Amino acid sequence: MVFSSIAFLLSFFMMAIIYYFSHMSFRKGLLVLFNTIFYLLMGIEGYIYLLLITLISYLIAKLKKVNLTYIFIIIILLFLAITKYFNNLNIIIPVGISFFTFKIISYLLDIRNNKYDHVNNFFDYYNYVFFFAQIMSGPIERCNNFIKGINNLDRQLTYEELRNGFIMFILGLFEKIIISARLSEVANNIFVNSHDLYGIYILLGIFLYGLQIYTDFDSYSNMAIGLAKMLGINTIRNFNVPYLAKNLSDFWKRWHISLSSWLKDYIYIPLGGNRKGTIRRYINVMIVSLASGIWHGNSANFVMWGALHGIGQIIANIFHINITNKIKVDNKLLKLIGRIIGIIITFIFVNICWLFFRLDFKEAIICLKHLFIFDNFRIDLAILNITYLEYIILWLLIILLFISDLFRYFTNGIDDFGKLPFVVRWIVYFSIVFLFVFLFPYGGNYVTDFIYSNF
Amino acid sequence: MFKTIFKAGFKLTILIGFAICVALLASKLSRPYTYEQADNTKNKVDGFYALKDNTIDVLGIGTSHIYSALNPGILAYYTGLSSYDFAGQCQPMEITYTYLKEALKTQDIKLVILDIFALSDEASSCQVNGAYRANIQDLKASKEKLAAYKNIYDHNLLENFFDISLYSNRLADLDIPTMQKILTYNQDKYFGYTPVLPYSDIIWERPPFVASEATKPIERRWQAFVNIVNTCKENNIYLLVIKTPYYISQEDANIYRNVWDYCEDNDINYIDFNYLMDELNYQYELDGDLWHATVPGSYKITKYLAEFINNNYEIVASNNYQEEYKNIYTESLQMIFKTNKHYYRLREYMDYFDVSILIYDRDHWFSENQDYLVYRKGSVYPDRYLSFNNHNVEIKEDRSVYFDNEKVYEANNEFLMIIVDELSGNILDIVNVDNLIRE
Repeated sequence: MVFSSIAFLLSFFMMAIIYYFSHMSFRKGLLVLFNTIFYLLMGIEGYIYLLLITLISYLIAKLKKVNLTYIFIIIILLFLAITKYFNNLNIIIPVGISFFTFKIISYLLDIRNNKYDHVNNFFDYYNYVFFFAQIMSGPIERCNNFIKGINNLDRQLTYEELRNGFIMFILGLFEKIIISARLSEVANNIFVNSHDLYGIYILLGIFLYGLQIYTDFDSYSNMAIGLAKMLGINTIRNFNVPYLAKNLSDFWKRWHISLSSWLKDYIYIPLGGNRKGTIRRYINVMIVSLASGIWHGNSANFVMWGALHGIGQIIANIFHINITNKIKVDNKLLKLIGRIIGIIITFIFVNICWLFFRLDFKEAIICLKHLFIFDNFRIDLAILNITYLEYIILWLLIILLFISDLFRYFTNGIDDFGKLPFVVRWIVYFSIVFLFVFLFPYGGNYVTDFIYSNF
Repeated sequence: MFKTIFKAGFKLTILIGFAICVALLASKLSRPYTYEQADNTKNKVDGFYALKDNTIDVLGIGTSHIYSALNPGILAYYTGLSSYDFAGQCQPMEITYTYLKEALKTQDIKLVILDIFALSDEASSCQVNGAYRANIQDLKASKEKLAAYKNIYDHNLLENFFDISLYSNRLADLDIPTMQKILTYNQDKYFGYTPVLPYSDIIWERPPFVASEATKPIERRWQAFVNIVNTCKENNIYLLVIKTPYYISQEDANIYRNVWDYCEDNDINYIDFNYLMDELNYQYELDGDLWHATVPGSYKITKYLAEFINNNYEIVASNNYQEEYKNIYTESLQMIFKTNKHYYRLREYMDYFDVSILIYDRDHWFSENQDYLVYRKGSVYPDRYLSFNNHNVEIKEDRSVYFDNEKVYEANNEFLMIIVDELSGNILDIVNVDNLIRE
């Protein structure tokens, strides 16, 4: 059940009404009920599996059985690997298996490492694992953060929480239905014909796909955060304007933050992180990058995608140590120019890497070759299978996305938006409604599933 | 908490209200002012909205049975009345009622001709979600349209309530030439009528049926029918209830018997063409298929209706769209003659329609002395030239056919009949009698 479906929106609306008007002490219980119904609607088999591993992991953490912790982690990782990489076994794949497996592992390892105490109440832990806003595509919240949030539910929810949550959700919906859907349509049209297209078309395809995957995943995260906020639960931010990152390391601090930090905390740091010398550090970076690639898929293109990011980070680090660090620039303008150049290079590199994310290895290589063959610079819209009007709207939406990212880059996002003058906020509200009404019918047909729901 | 919810709810209501206003405005703007040629097999709505206000006298409503049987060109020819088939494929009676109300918003209708197939058992098989969608989605957003959704099982169809979701596709496809084209006034060329051509040359008998008892239709359909009757009464509109001929089942005949009784009790005229087939010489497959009247069949039905209207109602014709109706008339006649392959039918048509026939009588069937003849309604006189409506048709010495002095048919020593429409002066068909089926 995707967040943008009418069925989900109506269910959530009804659920929220009950939630708001029930006694504060019942809220956690209601959350258990909602989470159960939400997951059950997606299949009883998946629910039983998830319930089972939730119960076992809860008991292991409570009993602090270290050996059992590792054995259990290996078992659930094996099951994850089987479901992800051996599709031909006909196993029913529980929805969101990657995300809840990572959540459970993080909880078990945090308890094992005494980062915080185990959760006393099973239903609190149940809510953590099953939380409907996060179960399908993350963010991979840490247990202590989540528990802190739901332990704070027996209070009056503020108007600001409702408003900010609602705006986050609506903006996410807008990003998915209006922006991402259009980008997806045009990018697909290009990549479907990528064997016959060259130069400017491939460049455009790469650019649009880069924006598509960003808006697709960012929109989901914004909707998830918004939904949680409307119920009074604060969850972590999963994206922080990644395409304005000044280098690759910065990019990974801004892109899919919950996964990046998970990989860092549970793979990179246990391997020694940057504490064991430069060579070992680079090896660790490569291991983490490859792990990230393999998590997305076991085919050569995902391995290549991970490897490219690993190599890119190492080169950027070498460049930083040997060149950037040695040049002392006091001039603010030069610093700014340097930063902008960094942003552009990172953006180009990340987007080219997405080719290996979007296409299989062979096709990605063909596309890369075609990218450098420019026979002309004119775009024929018939090849993109869109009209001139749609093309103009597409670029206007990209500009809108850029403006919104700049706002998020320089401010504290939704919290700062709430501090804007009344008139400005309402102009924004009306504009969003206006654009929704006018643009939804033009893009409504293109809406596809969330890309990350496949992972 | 209540205060917070109230505050949020209030602001949300403002935004939803704004969204509805924008959607209505956008719908208004995005609905084209002119309409491309409507899909004549299904959609009669666009063409209806393209009509100028208060220009239609007679409205045909119901299912595809009416829009393939009531030919506005023929009706105008015999009555001078302007008509439109505002009907839909497999249209449920509830939606027919919606269509009537929609029509009354812009048209000063004097007579409604309602086909009652939608009351039948057979209609149930095609009244599926797709039929509801096709029948509702093109209507303008209004409370009538909203009410029509009540009977739909698939509520996803509600997404088409606002016109923008439907017409946006047209706007999305716009380019400069299309934008220029949209300034041209186009309306439904056939005024809702769908010409159905005979599928084959076979002639077959329909088994006899008897309306053994009166059976009431499904309640909601019946209620919609009664609503239509009442709406016509309230608006002082004549109502003529009809059932066009088709392969009628016993169950359906019983249902129509019920309608017949109701009409008698309420002083409403009812014509069931299923009982008039002999009188009209209506033959399957030529005049109608299992369900619908073909063009020749629609001529017979409409001509009968025209005579009935002339004899039973006092309606002052508004005489709108006369040129368009003339074109439909001529085109219908062309279709009738061009699709005919039977000699005996040709003889029937020669006397039935207002046509004159220029003949090259190679075999001297009509006259031993004359090669060239004109035939009209049983009379023959020697001539090789015809002129109507400033057009002339001639068979010259070389036995080729000339229309307005331009050669349109090369002679080949055939037994030729050139059928000429007296209304337009156009050639309807050039028949090589040797090629006709004689049995």
